[in-house]
Amino acid sequence: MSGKRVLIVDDEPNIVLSLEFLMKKAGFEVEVARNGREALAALDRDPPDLLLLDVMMPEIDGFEVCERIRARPEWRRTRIVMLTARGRESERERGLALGADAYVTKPFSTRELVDKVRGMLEGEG
Amino acid sequence: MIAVSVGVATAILYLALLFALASWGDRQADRGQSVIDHPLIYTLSLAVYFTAWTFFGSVGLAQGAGIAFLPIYLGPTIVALLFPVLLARMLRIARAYGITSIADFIAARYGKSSLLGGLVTSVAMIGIVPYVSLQLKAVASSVDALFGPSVSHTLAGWGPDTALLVTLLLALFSILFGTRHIDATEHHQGMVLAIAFESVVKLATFLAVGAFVTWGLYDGIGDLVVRLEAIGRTELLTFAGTGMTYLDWFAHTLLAALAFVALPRQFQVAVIENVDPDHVRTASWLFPLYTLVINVFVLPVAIAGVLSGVSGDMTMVRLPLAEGFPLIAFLAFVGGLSAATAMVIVETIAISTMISNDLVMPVLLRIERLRLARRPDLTGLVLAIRRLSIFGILLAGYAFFHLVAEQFQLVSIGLISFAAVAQFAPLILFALYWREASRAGAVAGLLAGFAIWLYTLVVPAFALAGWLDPQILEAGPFDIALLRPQALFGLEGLAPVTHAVLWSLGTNLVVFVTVSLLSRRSDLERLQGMLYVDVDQAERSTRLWRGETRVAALKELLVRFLGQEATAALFAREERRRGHRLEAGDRADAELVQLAERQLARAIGAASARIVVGSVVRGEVIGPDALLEILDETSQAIEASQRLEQKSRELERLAAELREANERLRQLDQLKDDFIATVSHELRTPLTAIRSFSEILLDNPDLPQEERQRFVEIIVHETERLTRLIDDVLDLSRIESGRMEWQVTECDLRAIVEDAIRRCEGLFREHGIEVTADFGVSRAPVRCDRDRIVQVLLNLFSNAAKFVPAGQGRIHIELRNLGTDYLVRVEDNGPGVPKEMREAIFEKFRQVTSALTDKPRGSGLGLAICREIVQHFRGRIWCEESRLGGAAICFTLLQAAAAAEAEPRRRVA
Amino acid sequence: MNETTRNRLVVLAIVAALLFGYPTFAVFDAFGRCCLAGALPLWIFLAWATVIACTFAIVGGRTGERRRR
Repeated sequence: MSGKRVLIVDDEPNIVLSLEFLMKKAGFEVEVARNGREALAALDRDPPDLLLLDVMMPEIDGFEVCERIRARPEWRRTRIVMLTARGRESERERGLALGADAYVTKPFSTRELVDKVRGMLEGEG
Repeated sequence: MIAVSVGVATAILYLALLFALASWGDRQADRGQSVIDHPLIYTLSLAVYFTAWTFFGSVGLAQGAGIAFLPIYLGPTIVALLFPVLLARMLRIARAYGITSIADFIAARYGKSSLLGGLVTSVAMIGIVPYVSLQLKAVASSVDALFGPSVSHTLAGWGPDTALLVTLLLALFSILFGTRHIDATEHHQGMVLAIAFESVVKLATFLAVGAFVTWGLYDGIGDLVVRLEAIGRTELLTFAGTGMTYLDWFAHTLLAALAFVALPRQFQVAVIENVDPDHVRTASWLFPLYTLVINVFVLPVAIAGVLSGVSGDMTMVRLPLAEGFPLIAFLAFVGGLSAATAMVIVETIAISTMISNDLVMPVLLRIERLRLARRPDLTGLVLAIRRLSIFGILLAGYAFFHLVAEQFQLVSIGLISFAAVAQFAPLILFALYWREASRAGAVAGLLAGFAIWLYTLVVPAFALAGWLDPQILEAGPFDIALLRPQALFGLEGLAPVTHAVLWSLGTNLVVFVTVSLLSRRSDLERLQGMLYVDVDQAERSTRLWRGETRVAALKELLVRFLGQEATAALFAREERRRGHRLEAGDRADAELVQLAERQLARAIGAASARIVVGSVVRGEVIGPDALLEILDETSQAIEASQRLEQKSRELERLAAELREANERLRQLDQLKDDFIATVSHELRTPLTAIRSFSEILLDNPDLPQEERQRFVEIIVHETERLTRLIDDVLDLSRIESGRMEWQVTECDLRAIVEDAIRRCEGLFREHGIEVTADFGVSRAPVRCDRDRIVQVLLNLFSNAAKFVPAGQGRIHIELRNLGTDYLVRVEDNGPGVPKEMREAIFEKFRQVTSALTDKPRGSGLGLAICREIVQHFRGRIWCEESRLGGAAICFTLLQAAAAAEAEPRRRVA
Repeated sequence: MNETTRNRLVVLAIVAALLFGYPTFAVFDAFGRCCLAGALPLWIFLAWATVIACTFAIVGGRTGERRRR
């Protein structure tokens, strides 16, 4: 279980803070990116096991990040959980179609989110 | 004897019943339910053909001339057989071109000639007078027969004769009946229903009286014939008994056949009032059947009259009366009244419509063009004309009755009218079947035929009545024997009607054909001719023209109207589609002809396209010039096309507006959608943080105190952000929907700015911002909502405070007098706003986003609200570069004096 | 209403015109004089009824009731 790394990508500092706390508490290594560009840079350095990816971000948004990650075969093992504050069904479909593994609508239940992340990383073994 | 009062009451009741029936029919029609949409009703309405002439006159004639009454019904029978051929075509034309009367039908065919329309109307009007007088005479006679002349004189009381009384009553009734509605194009459904009812009444009464006489007074038809043999009068049952030659018989049959087509009232019920062309099929056998049945008892009653010594036109009434059966006589009276009223109603409606539409209105419009044409509502005038016409026709009928008809049998009076309207028949038939028939031919033929009619029938009638020197009949005018009215140019030995029919119709035909062949038709005449004659083809499109034209001819035609390039492209496309070349010498198939017609229709309109394509197919050539002539031909055509153009332009404009509105709506919808999505995002973001930290605090009771403290602070902060956002959204929606309550007072902008600065002192201090202010005026009176302007300023200040560099922030506030406005400028030394963003920042949720800004964000609505508020007070707000290096947000407000001046204008707007 | 029906009606009209006048009348008139009083009127009405029956047969006989779809 330990040693799994989670990259949090969100431009809302308080949400980042809460996610960071939750993931650390769950025993993951945590890295933070404040926007899409930073996220891609972080992946380039060392692809994490899982991405908590906000959709609405300036410049490169979550969809685009997701698409770019899925375009690179060497990153295909990285799980992607998309977080969005826009609850439209069409966006959910779009996210899943782009290769996201899960789609979570804000505000979310912290326990469920942690369980989901844990489940995804454990299932991978 | 029947009491006069009972008779009058019954007659009035009967008329009232008709009236009620018609009203009911009209009301049903208004509700969209056609009560006359049945072939039986249609056929019965055609039976308006049977008038008092039939009801009383046939018997009167049969007593002296046996079966001589029959041609008048055999003619229409033969015509009825041809209904599905002839009438169906007239119906199609009338429908396709919106025909309202027989005058309209004829005038439209011959180049929409108002001259011809007026002429037809005049002939109909004059020609029908004897026919109307016949009805008056019949009704008056039946009243006299039933109640005795002395009684009806007392009935009149003040002296006038029965006929005048009948005339006035019928006039009143027809006016009431026929001019309730003005629109001649609509069906008079109620009238048709009433007429159909009258047809039932006259048939039933005739059969009742006939059956009573045949089997009640005698032992059936065989008995009657035997008795007739006994008194040696069997010649009544032979052809010799008619006193006619076979030529006379033929002339009468022809006359009736033609009149049946050309009588204005027959045209009215058969064509104008038709609601379903399919009814014609039924009428083609049912009408002859009605004709046969109503004629069955004519001979028996006539014979019975002969046997009982009762004779004359009123045998139907007198015979039962003489035998002591006043009720049966009364039945005959009702039947005759019914037949007469039906005729008078429909005939006067038809002719009064023609008089107003084809005679008086065109003249009036021309004479008093400016005044009449501009009157918004001419219905009153039209109605007055129609009422006067009805009255006039009936009065003329009365006059004719007194001057001439009193001495004549009913039938001979009716034949005079038949001969007059029969003059229309060549115009109608040629209209339907002869493309080359011209307006000049029609006018000349009709005038010639009518003149001969006047001379050969009306002049003798007046002479016989003593109003002209009878010598004219014997010796001719000025003793010119050749010009004797009843033996014109030496055509002697013919019965007067036969003589008149042969001469008038013969002349009509010969003149019509000759002049048509000699005269040059205008293009409009040719157009209308084709439209009438080819009405079937027009419906079946171009299929009939297959195989008559070559590809080259079609191509040439298209080139002339569409141009070389477009034609070549069209043919290339068509060849590609067919997969083979279209050789110039090939026959053009139906598909190609239709294609050409469709293409042309786009360029010159459907009707014109059909004509030019048709012309090529037939080998005629109509050039573009001729086509233009068609359009230029009459001012009517131009007007119509202009109206059409205007309509189509209007439609186009409307369509464009609709598209625009639709587009705007779509955009608005999109905006609304985006707005809701964004608001949802903006609400969910702080909520996410609040929920997350709340749950963290809940799940981790053992957190260190300082961390707890930090998380709670975040929760509080995010809650504040949420509240602000909600406030802003509500503010904005209130302003946008116009529900904001504005407290407008006159206040000092300088004081407001100072107040706002004071309120923000804490904020500025906290961020270590240096604030400077420069007021160019000591007082700046404006009319506005003080609190809202403060809100604007607070927004601008907190925005500026957010973006200035921490610790070294500078904000400069300025107030200036611009003449009619005051300007407020709030400058900062923050990162500034890139040029391309300076408009956008005032839009909802458009924040200056930059990787550098790590500032707590606002709702994204602040500047949008500022803009709404400033614009509400007719100010402007914009963003420019600050002299301090950052952004400068400026806004203006109208000075109080200027605002007061502008105030009323705004209210109006 | 097809072309055949129209043609039949035209023919029938022509025949009717002959039945309702010369020369047919001459025959029945002579018959009326010699043998049966009223033969001519009888003929006219009989021919009339026959013509109506023929028309009825040709146009299809339906009372023209609107074909309700």
